[in-house]
Amino acid sequence: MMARAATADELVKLRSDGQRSKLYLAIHTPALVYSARVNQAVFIDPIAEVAYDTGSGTLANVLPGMTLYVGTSAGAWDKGMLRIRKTPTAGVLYFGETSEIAWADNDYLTVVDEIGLWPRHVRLAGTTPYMDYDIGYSDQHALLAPYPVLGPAAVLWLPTGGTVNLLPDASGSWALGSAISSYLWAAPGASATLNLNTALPTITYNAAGTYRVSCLVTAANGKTTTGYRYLHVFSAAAQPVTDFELLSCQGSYDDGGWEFSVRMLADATAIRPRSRVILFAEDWYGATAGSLGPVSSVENIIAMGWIDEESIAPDALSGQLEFAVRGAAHWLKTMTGYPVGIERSSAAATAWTEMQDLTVDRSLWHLLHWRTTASLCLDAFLPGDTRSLPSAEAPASGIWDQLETLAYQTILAKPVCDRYGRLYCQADTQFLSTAARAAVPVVMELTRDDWAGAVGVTRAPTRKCSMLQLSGIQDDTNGPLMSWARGGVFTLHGATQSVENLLLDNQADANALAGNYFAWLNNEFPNVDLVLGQNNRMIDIAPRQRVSLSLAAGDTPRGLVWAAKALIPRRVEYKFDAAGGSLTTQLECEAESGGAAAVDGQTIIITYPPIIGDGDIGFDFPDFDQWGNWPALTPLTPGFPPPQYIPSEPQVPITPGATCPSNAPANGPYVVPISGTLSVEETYTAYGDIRVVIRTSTHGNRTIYELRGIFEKLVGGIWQETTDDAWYAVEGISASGAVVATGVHNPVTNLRVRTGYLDAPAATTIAWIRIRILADLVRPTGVTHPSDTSHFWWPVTDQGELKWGYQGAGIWVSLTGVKIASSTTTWAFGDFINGGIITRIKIGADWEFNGRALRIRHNGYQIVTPPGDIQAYAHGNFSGSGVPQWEEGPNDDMLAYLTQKHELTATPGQEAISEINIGAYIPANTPSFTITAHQWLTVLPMATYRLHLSQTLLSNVCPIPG
Amino acid sequence: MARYSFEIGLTQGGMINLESLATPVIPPAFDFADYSDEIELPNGRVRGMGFPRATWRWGNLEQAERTQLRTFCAGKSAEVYIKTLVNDKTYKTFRAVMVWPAGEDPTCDILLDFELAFRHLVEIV
Repeated sequence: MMARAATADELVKLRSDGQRSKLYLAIHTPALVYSARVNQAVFIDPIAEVAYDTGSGTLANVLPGMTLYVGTSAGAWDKGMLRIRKTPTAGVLYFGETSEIAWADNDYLTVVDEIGLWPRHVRLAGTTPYMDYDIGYSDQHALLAPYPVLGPAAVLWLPTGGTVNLLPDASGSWALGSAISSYLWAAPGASATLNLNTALPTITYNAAGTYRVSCLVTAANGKTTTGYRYLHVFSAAAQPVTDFELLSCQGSYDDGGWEFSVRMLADATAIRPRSRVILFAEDWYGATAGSLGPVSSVENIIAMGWIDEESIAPDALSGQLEFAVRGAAHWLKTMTGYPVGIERSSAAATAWTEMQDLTVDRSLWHLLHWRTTASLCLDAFLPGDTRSLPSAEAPASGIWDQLETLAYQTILAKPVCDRYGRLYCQADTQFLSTAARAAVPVVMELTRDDWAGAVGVTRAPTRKCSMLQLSGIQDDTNGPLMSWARGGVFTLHGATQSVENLLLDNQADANALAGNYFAWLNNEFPNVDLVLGQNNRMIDIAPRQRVSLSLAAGDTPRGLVWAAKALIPRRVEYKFDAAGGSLTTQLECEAESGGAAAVDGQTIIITYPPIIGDGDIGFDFPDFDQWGNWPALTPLTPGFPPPQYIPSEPQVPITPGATCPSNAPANGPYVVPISGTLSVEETYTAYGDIRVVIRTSTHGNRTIYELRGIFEKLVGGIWQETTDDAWYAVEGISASGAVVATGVHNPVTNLRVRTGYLDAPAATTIAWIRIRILADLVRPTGVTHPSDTSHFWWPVTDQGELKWGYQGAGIWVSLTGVKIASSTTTWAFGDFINGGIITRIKIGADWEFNGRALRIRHNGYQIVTPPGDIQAYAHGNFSGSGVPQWEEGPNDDMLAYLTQKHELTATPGQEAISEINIGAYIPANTPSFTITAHQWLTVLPMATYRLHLSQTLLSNVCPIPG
Repeated sequence: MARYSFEIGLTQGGMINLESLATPVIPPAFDFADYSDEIELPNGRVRGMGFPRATWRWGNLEQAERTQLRTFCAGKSAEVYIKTLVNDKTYKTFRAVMVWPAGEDPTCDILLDFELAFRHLVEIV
């Protein structure tokens, strides 16, 4: 349901003399359907059904979605209003779960013919979610119910003695993943009907009144939904409300919809809070009677909504009543919804929390159809986005906020209601590609025959945003994408902004979107205000539309020249002169930005941090301190992170060929974002983003670095500032993680400053500057596992499998499958055996680490004993320490684990060998047995140098070629 | 015999010439505007907006005549049908909202500069 351009005939009318209007209000006073009295004395909060008696009316006429009054007298709603949630049974009415009614036996229950906008809450029974209290999951997320689009509410005038036709249109109904297969309309009270089983029926009325029409929409997947609309038929004898004064009427894109306020000049005692009100008009354009509007058959409607806040002022006469009527956006903001959480599933969904082929559209459908009654009473149009969404999540908040979260935070689609109350969720025109914008209609070109007075143009030549960083995931790969606009350097003015977690097509999409978003943030003409000298209701805040305006140089002192400048309406307001009957329109627009004029953002290649040491470890090791108890987090066998978890290192080359003239002038210094303490006990390698081209020795001004901070060395157990300078490295790193430039240190002339230059064979683009500690690293020539029980009764029969690798400044080691076995078929010896060392891990060659302070951390240990009575102990120590530094056991039956980490500190003079001894209670005559052990440890260095880095600077660089 | 054709009535069919009312009312001076408001456009044109409006004005009106006219507008305003001269010196019939003037002086036998405003004129053809 797109906006449309005004026709030539409509433009003639809009530019004619004698435009005049009469305004009316249609206030829905719903008819009584069924009444009863509460027939129960005990009420347990929350409550979703109530027993009743003394029912009056036809129970079958009570429909899900209708409004239920609870009151202290017949027909009253003083205790509250509820929503019938499912078909009642004899004696029980079911309604939306509530805690807000002060129930009492014999309260009056009144069901009225009104199907409005309500939340439908989720209920958790244990961990099982139910929609709308008791709707369990069957296939609702596999076969999606259709959404009826039946058009807005209508207001018709009945000619005296004649009939009037309602021509509703359900052809806009939709079904995600399916198609609409049939329609079936019902129109109680109609005098005649035609084509009720089509999308476009004709429904005839011959009497004034308020009528309900419904349409059962069936999808090809077999699912159905019934939508309802109400229409008002007025006649000369049955007039709408005329005794009122329109105080304001406006729609705001930012607020998401329309509202108006009126002062009632007649008795308003019968007007119920939250009644639906339609403001409509009888219009003339010159000699031609009839309204102009974008939607056929409802051109006479100005705005609609539900009564919200009232202003009641007693005075010397009968007092005054003013009330605000607000549209669906407001009401959905005021309704709190439970959290939304849906994940994409690889097969047909089996739970409310899953959905196959999850998209933004599908998440919005879930919210509208299952979490509210919108599909019963409100037209809605989704973005039409088919990109795959990994998950849809929105916290508990107003349902409108949830809509915005699901739509805007993923694809920048914003929900907005037009003045008919139709909900559009569309990406804003400003963010569309140039090609997509072509489909956004220009409703009309505003000429000097349209606007009155002056056009108010706000020009903002100073940028608001200096750099936009836009990021998200690619829908089909889930890979990260990032783009920055307008380039790698801040613009002269403005602040940095970021937009994150978007769902993007590809890098080109990200770049285009970044360019458009940046252009929008820095829109040169953010406000263009116009007062139209006409009753123009063709222009609205939704769906997507534009108007255009031309200005000649002589029109303004500024000499602004616009040739059909596209403007996007952001606020539309109607002013009504009741005495003269003239209705005029005011627009607040913003100029269209971006599009063909936008400069695409630049690609930011996201790479994983380069790996220090072994290049085959492509991930950060987990923080073992946070693993908690070993058994809870690891599989029983083999018990350790398997090597296949280690991915290959990503290699994402950037475009080569950077150029940088040899006579490039000196520049900088530029701050590289690296600071903090570097040591092997903390962060021993730090990266700072800086995308530049570094220069070479052939350049007159070569690239130099400067580090400022406190450079310390551990001397005799005391940290002292040092001039030592060979214990760290400064390097230029490419986007692929390769070292492309090596820092050559200058002699130290200041204790707290280090300088040098970056040496590279050719001008080279770098993505990072890296500073890393070279001293103190644990980089053994090898790791061995000379396990030995030193006892022939149960020798080591399998040395197991050893794996190790660098972990930060230290190493990790795993030793799995070390086995000892009894040497006899029957264990003749009884009771406790101190069996010796079952796992021994040696770091480096003999005495390689002599004198080095190390920390060996036994992160995990596992002993698998045979079933029976063997109870194993284990205790660990560092070779040469002489005494066990931890002990655990006995452990019964099959398994033994370390239940906490153990950290040992070696002292100089000891071999860097970790040992774990085993002891066991082995009863005499135990059959032959095997005990298996697995171990996981880390070896971490202790620092002798550290750097408290306060600032890192780089000078004399070239920009990356565009 | 009526000299002018100013008429008024609560219904179109019930319109009576002012000079033929039970208490005849002398024909008024009149104003008529095709539009109740004007909007200046930047191209120099002026757009007429709103309903036509008319005014009937009497320099002197007797209380009996006033009472006669009051029968068509018991309150501050009322919907009536009128036939009045328009600017091309022809008579046209309109449905209109008749607005009773404020600030009457009940002590005067003769009302000076008495004025009835008719707004929201919808021509009946």
